[in-house]
Amino acid sequence: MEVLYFMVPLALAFAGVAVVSFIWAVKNGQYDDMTTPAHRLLVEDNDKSGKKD
Amino acid sequence: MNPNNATDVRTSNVSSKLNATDSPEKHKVCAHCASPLNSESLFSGDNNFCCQGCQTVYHLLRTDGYARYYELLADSGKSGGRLDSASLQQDSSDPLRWVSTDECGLLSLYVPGMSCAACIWLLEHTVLREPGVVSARVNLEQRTILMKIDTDSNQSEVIRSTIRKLQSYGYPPAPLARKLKSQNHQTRKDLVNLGIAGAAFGNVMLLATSIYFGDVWGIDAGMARFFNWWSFSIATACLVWPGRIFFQHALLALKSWSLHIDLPIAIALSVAWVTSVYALCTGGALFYFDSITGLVFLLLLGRYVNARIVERAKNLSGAVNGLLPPESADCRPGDIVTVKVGQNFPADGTIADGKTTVDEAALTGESRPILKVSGDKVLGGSRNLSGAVTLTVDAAGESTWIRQLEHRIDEASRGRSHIKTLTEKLLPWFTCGTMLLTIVAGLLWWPSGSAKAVEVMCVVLIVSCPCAIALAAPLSMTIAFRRAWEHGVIIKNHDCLERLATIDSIVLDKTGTLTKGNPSVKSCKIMGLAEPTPDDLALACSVLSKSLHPVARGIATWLKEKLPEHFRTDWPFINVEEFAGEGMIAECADRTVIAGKGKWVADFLALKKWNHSVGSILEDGDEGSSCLVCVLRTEGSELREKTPTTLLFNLHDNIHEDCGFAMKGLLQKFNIWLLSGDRRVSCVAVANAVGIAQENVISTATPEAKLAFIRSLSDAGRKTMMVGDGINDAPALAAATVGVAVKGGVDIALSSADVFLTKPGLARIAELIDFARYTRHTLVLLLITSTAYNLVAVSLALLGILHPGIAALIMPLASLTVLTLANVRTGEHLWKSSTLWCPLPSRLQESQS
Repeated sequence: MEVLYFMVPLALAFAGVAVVSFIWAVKNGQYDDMTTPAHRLLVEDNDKSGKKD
Repeated sequence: MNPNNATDVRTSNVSSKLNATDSPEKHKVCAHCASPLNSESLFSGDNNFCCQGCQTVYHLLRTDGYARYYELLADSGKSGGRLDSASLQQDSSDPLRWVSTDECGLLSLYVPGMSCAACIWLLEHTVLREPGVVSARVNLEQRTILMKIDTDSNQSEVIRSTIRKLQSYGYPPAPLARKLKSQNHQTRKDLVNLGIAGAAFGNVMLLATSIYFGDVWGIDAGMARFFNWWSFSIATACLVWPGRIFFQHALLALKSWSLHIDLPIAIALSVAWVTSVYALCTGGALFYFDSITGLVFLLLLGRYVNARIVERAKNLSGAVNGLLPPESADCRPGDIVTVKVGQNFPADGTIADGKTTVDEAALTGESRPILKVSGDKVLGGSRNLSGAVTLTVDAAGESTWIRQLEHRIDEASRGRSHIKTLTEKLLPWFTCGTMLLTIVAGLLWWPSGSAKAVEVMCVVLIVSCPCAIALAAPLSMTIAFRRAWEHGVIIKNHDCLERLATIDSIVLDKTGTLTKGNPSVKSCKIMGLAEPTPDDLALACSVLSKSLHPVARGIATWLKEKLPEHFRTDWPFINVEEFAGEGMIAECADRTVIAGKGKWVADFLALKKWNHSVGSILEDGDEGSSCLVCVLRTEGSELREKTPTTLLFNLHDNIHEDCGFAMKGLLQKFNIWLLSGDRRVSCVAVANAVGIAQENVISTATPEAKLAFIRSLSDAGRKTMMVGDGINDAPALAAATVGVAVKGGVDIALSSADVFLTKPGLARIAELIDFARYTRHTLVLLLITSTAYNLVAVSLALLGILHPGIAALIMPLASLTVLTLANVRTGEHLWKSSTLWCPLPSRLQESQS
């Protein structure tokens, strides 16, 4: 069971990475608009011209 | 030119319009906006348009390669926005005045006209095509386009050309309210806090569960200590980062000697932390880190969900553009400005040259256009109806009457007395009870030793944390808001539902609220001896539809319905002249049509020496308006016959169909008043029709008078609900206990009201008040339930048998119970008059319905 002394901090480190990624995603504006992408589905874009950010 | 295309265009509901776009009926509606065609329509091959505006946009979109827009519109089940030439006129002001980029070249354009997937596609592609634009992204809920401009290019030029392009497609951008930016910022912060709290909660619970199982099945003491130290780090991080808001609020409350629900929460959190750290350092067994993180997470979750729905409702009211066009910012007193037909006056002023009728309905409630000649004063924001004029500006910008009104609205809403919410009433009792029980616990356990006594006191303080209570109100409000939203009632403020439950008086506006706002023909009397021929009537109809005057349009619509098969657009008019506010005259090769107020027509005929017996002409003593229409056979300036066709029309404003029925129910339960800016005669007529007593009718009320009336009712101790739709209602809406704006209301009414109804008619109001009362009962139930949980936990603590694990479980359990109860009591049975409706409304003021 001593392995837990290593595993638990490792697991928590992973959790930390997840939290940091989450904060990055929020600051990057990915959670700003949760409704418009649903409408975007209706538009099948044949021409991929125009830069989509 | 194919007149047969215009047959049978009586369809006016949306579903038949939708079918129209892919069946042979396609030719009967406008190819762009799907409105029914009329005699003004333009017919050109296989695409017909209702007006110049729609035709322009249609061809523009096709030539620019956006024909797919129409396919996408059909897929979404929508149609293009109704455009008249006035709205397509290029804005002469410099758009850079109200829009600018930040350092990275990012810019948000607010486009209130967008509504669906087709709009997203069109707008993003349009903006991307502009040279210098790097990216464009539409946010449908906020109705903004976020675009990034290349910092190397001439940014002002890019902005200008983009805006011009959008205006030409019929999607004019408008100034963006500053608050949207800070709103996004706040949402992001809330979400980050919530995420961190959630991660902390999950991980600490994992560690805690191991320890609890370890208590039962055995765990290495070192391992337990190891886990506890990690729990400590995570919980502390949780408290200082996401949880700090509770402490900040608690400190503020302490400083100002007021009671805030975060105060007992902060106390509970602190005590829990101190107890657990003490146990950690001295090798004790009381660890509450899991409770701490659980509390923080649940409370933040409740607040987050609540904040989002309130924000969503606020966004729908749009930026308060007001009725002043952007160029009003340029005006200074003494400037001379030209105002074209269909435009809004940019500032208060005096007419220097020209003559016209203006529509002040949105400002003063006067439903009929007012004649203005040289020397008359006009208000900024009123609409120019019939003739271009030049204006000398008297008051501009902040000094205009409408801006002053907006300031008064702000004042009125701030002055509204604050009704204590149920939670606020409960809180002092709760806090006292907690303190009392803590002392009792101490006294009870003192004999067993001070350590034990302190321990029990701490536990009591921890489990008495009003977590579920703090959640009950926001949860029930959020769920109630959603339900109401689904039924077309949008509520903007937290405490609005509680205020609604206390209403005992309702004050109704007349035009637009009780009535539909469009005069329609009530009766048509044939004067004289001549029998009108259909041809004459069709000619008269065509003449009248050229006018912007509501009375003329009302008659034209009525005639169109009666004789649809006689439409023509190729009447050989020699001359058409409108006399602002009085009437109009149109000359053909073989006939002349004169229409207008009775006296004016008689005078005009006398002037032309075409005297004949027109019979007794009624004056405007009636409840509606009356209009005389004469069709004379003439040639040049000679009268060919002695007995012309003469018709006398009586018009009135239609009352919404469900008013009668809804009013019966309302009259039984509430005191009802009718408050309007219109004339006494019209008001009394409408009041009689719906059943309001005559002494409760107040007419010719200015916005100040309306405000004063509401205040007088409040002073008398009544809780009033004000229902209105125009600017003249706005201060009253802000000052009433609850302000309700109805569909079609102007922006300023929408933003000063607490509730808006997206469907016309009064039935919603009765249902809304019932729903508010039901929600209040739900809230009481939730508060009782959560208090019960706390009581059980405290009892266990007093007895000394509360295990920390149980404490950690009770909080989430209580929250879950509260959540389930709130969801179960939907109140669906109260919304009798409606069916469920799409949660994301496309536009509040749809042009088609």
